[in-house]
Amino acid sequence: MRWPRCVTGRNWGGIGRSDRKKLLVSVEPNRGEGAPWVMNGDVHETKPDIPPRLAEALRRHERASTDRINLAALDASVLDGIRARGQRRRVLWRLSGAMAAAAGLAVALYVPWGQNSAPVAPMVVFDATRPVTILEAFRLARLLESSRAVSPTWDVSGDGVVDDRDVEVLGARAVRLASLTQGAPA
Amino acid sequence: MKWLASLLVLVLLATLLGQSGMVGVPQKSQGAKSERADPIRFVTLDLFVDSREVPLAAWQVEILPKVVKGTATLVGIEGGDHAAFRAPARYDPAALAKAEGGRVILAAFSLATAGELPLGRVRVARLHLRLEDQDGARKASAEFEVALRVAADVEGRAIERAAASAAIGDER
Repeated sequence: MRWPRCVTGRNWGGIGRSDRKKLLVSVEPNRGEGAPWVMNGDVHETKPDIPPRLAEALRRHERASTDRINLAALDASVLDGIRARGQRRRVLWRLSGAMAAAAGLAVALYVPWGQNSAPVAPMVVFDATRPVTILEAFRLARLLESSRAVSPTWDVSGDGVVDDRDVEVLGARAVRLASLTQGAPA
Repeated sequence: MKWLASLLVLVLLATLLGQSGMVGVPQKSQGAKSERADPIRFVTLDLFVDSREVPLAAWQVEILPKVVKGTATLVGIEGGDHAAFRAPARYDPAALAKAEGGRVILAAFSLATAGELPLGRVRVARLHLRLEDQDGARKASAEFEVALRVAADVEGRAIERAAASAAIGDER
């Protein structure tokens, strides 16, 4: 049986300092004849006298340590992966939420909400203090033809409704012989 | 030669008189004047509104008697030439009943689009007048003053340079 060569380990990643102190002896096939033997930090020119049971225990310990190192690394790797994926998802969710909020804000600002959000023109009011001309009938007819709200002041017929009858009444008033006199202003 | 010169003068005079009858009555100036030997006759008075280059959507004109000999009675009102004002204009029916020389206020509007409204000088109404001599002593005649009260575009804005005029049409 070839004794394993003892080397001080440098690639012990994942093993704590205390463990490293305990496992300064690593078991591996000998690299060549004549190389010095190292055990517990001591270099031996000749093959150290290691009992077979100790050698076997060291091998078992080496395997167990290696497995523990790999498992720990694997666990860490898996955890890192999960964390990274979760972080990416969180970033995506935040981006999506921000975009949805921006879209909602844009809709609220720019989409007209029916007639209420449209610019409202001032309501045209009938001025009863001025002499009635055909312009009053014309304006009311235009108002009725449009979809704009009509002021109740245009109800010159007094029937409670502003409609074509009021246009007729205004037209009749405009041409009434008593409505304008000679030299009256336009 | 003398008779030839007299004939030429008469022809020239007749030509001038004929042309003057076709000219419209300026706003607030002399209106139509008509004289004839028959005690009763009917004449038409064409009413024009000139809106220049602006489409005319609404107008109102007051026709006032200025000088009347005998009796002038408004007996009927027709519409105008343009489709927008072909229907008879609005007027006070009392103007037909009163024998006061035909004072009347005429007005009309159209809800047509600007492209469908008349531009420039357009006949908006035709009045029918009945002239009757007074006791057969004087020949009936009438002059009218035409006053433009309203001329507006499709938005109801006043057309500043608009003018109204009248001209005697048919007589029978």
